[in-house]
Amino acid sequence: MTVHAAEAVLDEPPIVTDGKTVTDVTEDVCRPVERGPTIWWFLAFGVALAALIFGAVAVYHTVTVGIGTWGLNRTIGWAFDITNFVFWVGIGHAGTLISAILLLFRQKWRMSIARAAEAMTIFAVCCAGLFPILHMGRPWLGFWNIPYPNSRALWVNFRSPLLWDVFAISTYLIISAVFWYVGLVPDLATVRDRAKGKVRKFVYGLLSLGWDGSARTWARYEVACLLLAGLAAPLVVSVHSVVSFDFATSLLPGWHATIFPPYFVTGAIFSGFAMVLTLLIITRKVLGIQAYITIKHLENMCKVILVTGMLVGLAYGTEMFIAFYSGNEHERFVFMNRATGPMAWSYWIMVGCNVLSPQILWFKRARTSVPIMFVVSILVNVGMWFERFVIIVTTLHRDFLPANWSSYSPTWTEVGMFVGSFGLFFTLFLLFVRVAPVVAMAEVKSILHARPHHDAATETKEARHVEPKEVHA
Amino acid sequence: MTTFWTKLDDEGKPAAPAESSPEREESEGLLGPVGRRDFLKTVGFGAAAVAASSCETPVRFALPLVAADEQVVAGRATWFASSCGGCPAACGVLLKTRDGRPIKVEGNPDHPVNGHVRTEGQGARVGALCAVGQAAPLSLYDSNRPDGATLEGRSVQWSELDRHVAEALAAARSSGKDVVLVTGPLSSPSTLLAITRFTAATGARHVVFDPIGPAAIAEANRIALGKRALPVERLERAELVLSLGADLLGSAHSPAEHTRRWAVGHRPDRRARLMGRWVQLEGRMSLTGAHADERHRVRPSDYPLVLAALVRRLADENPGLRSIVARLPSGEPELPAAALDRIARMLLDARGRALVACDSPEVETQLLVSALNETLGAHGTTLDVADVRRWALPEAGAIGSLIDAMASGRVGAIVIWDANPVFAGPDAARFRQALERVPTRIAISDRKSETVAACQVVAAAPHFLEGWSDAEARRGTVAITQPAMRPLGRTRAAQESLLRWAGDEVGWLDWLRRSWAHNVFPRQRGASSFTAFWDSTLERGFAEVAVDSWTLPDGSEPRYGAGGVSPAPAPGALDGGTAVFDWAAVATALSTSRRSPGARPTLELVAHASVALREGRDANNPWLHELPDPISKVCWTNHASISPSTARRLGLHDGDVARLEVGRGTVELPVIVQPGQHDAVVSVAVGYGRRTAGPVGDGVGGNVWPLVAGDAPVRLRGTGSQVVLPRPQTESGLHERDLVRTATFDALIDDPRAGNPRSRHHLSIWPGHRYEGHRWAMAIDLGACTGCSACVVACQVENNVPVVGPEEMARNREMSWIRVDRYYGGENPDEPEVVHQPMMCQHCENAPCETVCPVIATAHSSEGLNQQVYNRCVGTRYCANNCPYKARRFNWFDYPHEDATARLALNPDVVVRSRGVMEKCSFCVQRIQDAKWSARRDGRALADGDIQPACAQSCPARAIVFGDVHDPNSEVARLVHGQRAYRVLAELNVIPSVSYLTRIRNPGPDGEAT
Amino acid sequence: MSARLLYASFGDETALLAATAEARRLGVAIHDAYTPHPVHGLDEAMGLRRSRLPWICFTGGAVGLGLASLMQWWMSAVDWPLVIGGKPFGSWPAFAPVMFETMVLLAGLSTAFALFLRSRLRPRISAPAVPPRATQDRYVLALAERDGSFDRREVMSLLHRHGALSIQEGDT
Repeated sequence: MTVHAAEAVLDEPPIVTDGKTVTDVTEDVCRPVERGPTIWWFLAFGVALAALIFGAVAVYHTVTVGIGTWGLNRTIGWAFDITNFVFWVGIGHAGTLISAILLLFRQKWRMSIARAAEAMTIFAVCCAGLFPILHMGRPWLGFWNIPYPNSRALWVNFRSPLLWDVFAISTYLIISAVFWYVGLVPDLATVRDRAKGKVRKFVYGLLSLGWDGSARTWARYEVACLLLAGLAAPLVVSVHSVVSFDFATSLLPGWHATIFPPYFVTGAIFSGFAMVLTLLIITRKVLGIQAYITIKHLENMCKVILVTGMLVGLAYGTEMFIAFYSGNEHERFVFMNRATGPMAWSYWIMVGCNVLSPQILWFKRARTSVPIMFVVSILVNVGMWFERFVIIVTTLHRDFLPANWSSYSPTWTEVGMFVGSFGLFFTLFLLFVRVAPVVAMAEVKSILHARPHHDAATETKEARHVEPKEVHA
Repeated sequence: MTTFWTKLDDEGKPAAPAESSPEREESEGLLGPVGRRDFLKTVGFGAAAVAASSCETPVRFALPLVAADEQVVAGRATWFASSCGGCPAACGVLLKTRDGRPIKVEGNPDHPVNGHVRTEGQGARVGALCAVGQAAPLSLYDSNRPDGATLEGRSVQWSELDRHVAEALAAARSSGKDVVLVTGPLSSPSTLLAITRFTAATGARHVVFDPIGPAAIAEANRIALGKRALPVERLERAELVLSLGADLLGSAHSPAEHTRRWAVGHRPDRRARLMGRWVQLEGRMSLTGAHADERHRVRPSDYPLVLAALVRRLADENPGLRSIVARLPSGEPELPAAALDRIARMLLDARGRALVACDSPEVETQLLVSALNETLGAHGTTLDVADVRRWALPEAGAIGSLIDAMASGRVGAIVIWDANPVFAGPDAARFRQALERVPTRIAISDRKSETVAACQVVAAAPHFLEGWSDAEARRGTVAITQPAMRPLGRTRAAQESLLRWAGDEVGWLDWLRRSWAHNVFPRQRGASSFTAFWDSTLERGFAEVAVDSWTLPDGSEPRYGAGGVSPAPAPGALDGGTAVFDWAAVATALSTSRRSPGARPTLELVAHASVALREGRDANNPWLHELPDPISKVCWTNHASISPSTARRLGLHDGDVARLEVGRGTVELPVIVQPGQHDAVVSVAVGYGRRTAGPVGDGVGGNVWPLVAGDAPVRLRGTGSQVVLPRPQTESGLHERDLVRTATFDALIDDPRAGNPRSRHHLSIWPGHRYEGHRWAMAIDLGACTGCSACVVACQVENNVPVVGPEEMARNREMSWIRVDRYYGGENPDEPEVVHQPMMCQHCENAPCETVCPVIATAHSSEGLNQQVYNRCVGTRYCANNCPYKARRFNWFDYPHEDATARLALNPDVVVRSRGVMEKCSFCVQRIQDAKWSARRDGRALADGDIQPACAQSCPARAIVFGDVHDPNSEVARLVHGQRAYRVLAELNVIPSVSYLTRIRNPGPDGEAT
Repeated sequence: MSARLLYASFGDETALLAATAEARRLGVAIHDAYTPHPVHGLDEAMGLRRSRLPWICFTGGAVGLGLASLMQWWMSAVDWPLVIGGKPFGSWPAFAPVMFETMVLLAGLSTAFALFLRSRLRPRISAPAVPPRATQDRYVLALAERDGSFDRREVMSLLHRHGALSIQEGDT
């Protein structure tokens, strides 16, 4: 109780508004899962599914005809594929970061948004994981990246950052999924216990693993969550560091930079928070859970975006300075080329979206205005996609030997796979909001009593008058 | 590499080897007593090779050799010595055959034309061959070649065709009309004898057709020296070459030979303070101009004026020269007088070691060249007038009068063999119209062409790789062209057709042997019987016997004499090599052709042969189309090159489609802004825009021949449309990067490290892997490399590198394992310094590609090779991204290998890669293994030069040297540790195995920076 | 061990905490408590021991780290050493990322599986007997009626005093 008391002293604004009770939380959060989907949901799902099908067609075409259906060439071996990969991995960072790191720092405001953010993480990592497989010339042999004993008696190359990716991404996906699922179990039990139909009861019964809310389990559960958070937090940092190694350990100017790991992690947090913001602004409205995901939550995320946006800007500046200061002609050229070369437009989109657009969030008016922050979050998403595009394509298209220089433009298959990845992401997310509580009920319930102005006694009394009948029923 | 050459018998089957044939010894080495371990290794290697070669292309039909030929050893190559039929230069070649089919053509190192030059110095003896010769196998395996006898589009028996032709010829003669035989330029004496038999029997007239050849030089020599022949340019002896537009190293006659000789003469010799100097005056930027030590932009119409100015400046040196001064064309060239003074002074200083060359098709211009050469003492020193090239070249005006005769209906029958006058030449349109008036039109050809399409009778002839012939590339060298396989189709030698039609029922091979028995055998010493002589000649590919005049085997009068087709020169004119220069005849010839230039036009059209396609004979050969032009780097099309300021004036840019008009001729072509081009010159390659060359060549580029005729003004303007050029290299600047190091010869004399500062030493906490045994390395001399790109085609042939086509080339998806980067240096875009840099996998010791591959598809061998394991590759392309040289090639698609005929050109030692895997230069690892095994089989140590990767083997300039750097006496070790050696991007510490040698130019002490 | 259980349902975590603390003070055997969310201080009130999950997590991580090191070294330097990029066969700096990831993976998985095993959480065909609304908005204290010291009346009054909304009986 000491923590709650401290919060009361600090007179912080409530994390959950509208005087919601534990009962309200259950009702409000379970409602979307229990009632039929709305027309808006069907509409959104239709669009997402269409995008997914477009992507599937593009994938089919690529796999059957060849990577030649893309706009790549001898100089530019990666473009949309790895840009999308890094983009989605980056998106996938905010979820675990919000859950794990904010949990470790005991930031209670995380609780309302953690579930959605974690789900986003998993779906984003799924999207991300597709691209390293699909970008291969022979994706059906992708399993050769796994060090299993085989008839060829050949192992994998543990010196390759791509192999580190295999380990990092799969570990991240597994640990995130476990963390997410462990968090879901009590809430699934709630849904199970409220379920009317047999099938529902059975399915949620299976998924909730016989959870009964025992205090002994809760005690272990909390320790386990803390441990998983403790593991996931460095994992987040490591995964995007490893992704940055794909570039940093190469020897191309513009890739070969020691700044990359922190730069990428910051960028991932930045883009991840932006995506969470985009998603939650929509979700809270559509599901009517504004009381749980409040303006305060959104404002907090805006603050994170503002800070990380400036960190990203600092990274851009540092890169530029080091390129100049190193005296390395290749480095200097690559950065000059990014800013002034034939693909400078992509660089300036990146700078405009990532560094300039978040500056409006200095103003509280903007931070608390849903339309403004929505626009900013979209711009940051765009900017962060372009950041990866800039890093990959503007580095590759003009490297050491001028005779190799070339240019790049995407084909419909690449655009299709890009759109398709969004289709997959939103399809999964829309299915998720239909089948699982989108707010972590158990966690939110645990902080309701922390509200300083909450009158527990009155509520208990009210409840007492109502309850006896039910008990004996 | 063990080379041994052998022969085929009359039926085209490999004959029993001669007594002392190395082949026999080799076979015994393999099949004789072998230890158990060796046996297992051999079997294992063989099995692995079979497994590797069958990986990607499943065997559908397999026919066992029931009675295996003695020479055919499964999995091993058989080599035949022959002569190249790609052009009349007739370079000596070695044909590599596997399982009875030729798959690779290589230069014969012993051949006097393209082989080892005596003054070349140490090092491996390898034969040069140009890109066209290298590409020959795919012209052979062209499934669209004519087959059998065709009459009015109907396939007939040969007997029926012969009957038809005999009747037609008889009818023509009886009606008092002409019979004409048109051929391309020829250097085959026995063929010319067969032609004389044909012309004698049918009363036919022989017309040689060669719209772009060096006929004017031969004609000038007839006037000045009394010999209608081409002297051999002894470039290795020339200290100074002045060339007016002659692209001797690129697309002129015999470029492989020229390049080889130039490279020898142009090698910097610090001790002797000797290095050849090349001064090029030209309108377009040619390959030769790109590698000149001094270059000036001169419009081609000014060549006579430049020559005249030089003649005036040198007139005091020679009374003969003074005698023609009065007959020189008047007017001053655009070239500044100071430059002319300087050139004249340099020529005088190099007297006796100087050479003047020009590509002008005008005889009077060539007479001036000849006069200068005589004054400078070139005849007999740098110009070999004794052992001249003995090619049948066209006579001036012959085609014009033929067209007139055809148009007026005086020609009753025409036989056209190995020439395409319907398409090529300034008068092609007139020829086509006139040809329609000839009642009987007969084509003999080994390939499709517009001319073949215009003839009613088509007799399919064999490709030179599947037929017999001989060649007298020059006096004193008679060579054999022998088949390396049984003919693919139902073809008959063109000579045999002509002899049949002449009423001679003799087989062509019979005729050839009789011709040799009659003309060559009596003049040779050594062999006692003709059979022994013939066999030994087949093994060597040539015999060094001087035959001054060839006579028909039946002893009749010599019809083909040494100087050319006709008239036969006076006996003995070619004996001593001391030709007498006839100043009076020159003066007379000049006085009759004197003209004064009018106002200079703003644009002149230069139609030239391209390095890859030459005059367009092999237009259906995709290897040649895919070869980027060494200067413009454009492939799969020709283009109009204009200078930067002309482009500015006309508002045109690279890739803009422009309409080029001369008189009534018009063609639409993409524009290339070509630094170094004269502002008044539009240059376009001929041979493109073919209509019936075959599915590969049809419609590629534009046909510029209709524009060549006449003096109408040249107009060029943009059409407003643009194309993406199939051009693998788009950036031409070096951006001040230290990739190509250059120095002048004078600086090199002062400092052996001139232009080549030492690289910084790299620190490492890890001592690195130790390499025992061999350590393969390569050295590339940028001073010798002209960019001729023979290596590119050689590599493509050797390593089954797929052809991707123009669309993919436009997307920068070329597959070639070796490319020749071309950079422009210097401040002035009008006077660029052009450098060529062959670039392939550098086989880095610290290979960045290896580190990043997740599945170990690329790793290092114990001999320092960076190996790509295709089967292991999943295609992440990370290795290619991380390659600083971008030497790796990704299989974007399954490239087509469906054409069963074209597939015969595949090298069974190298797998065909599937879609989605990475590939790259392997240093021809199959050749390394082969050489190692051959040495082992022979029980000897591997010698330096035994291993020649395809690129090094083909290089006419010997710019590429490969070997074991652990062998301190190897040539490559000397070069790599020499003071000119550097490594590209050494600062990355990837430690490439390829070293480059500083490019040395010799502009002279007061040379202008060009 | 069979015992009669008394399930007391509270509407609020404070009431539950207070009732639990008092029951424990009175020496009543506390079987368990069922709450919709973790209630802080309940483990102390019930007198639960500290969980040993951290040790399992540590062991899992250590095993992962060791396995990854061994695997990479054996595959790269022992079983089939290849010269790759001129790097030593045992390129330890390059092995670090996989070592870290495997450590985290095994640590996380072992923690989660230990939680599931220890708490008997597994997919079940039939739902367990959960006190009504214990996973929603009720805080249920289960007291074990196991020995003579259990004064039923006193316990009931204790529960009522702390605001029990309902009291049920049941078996374990």
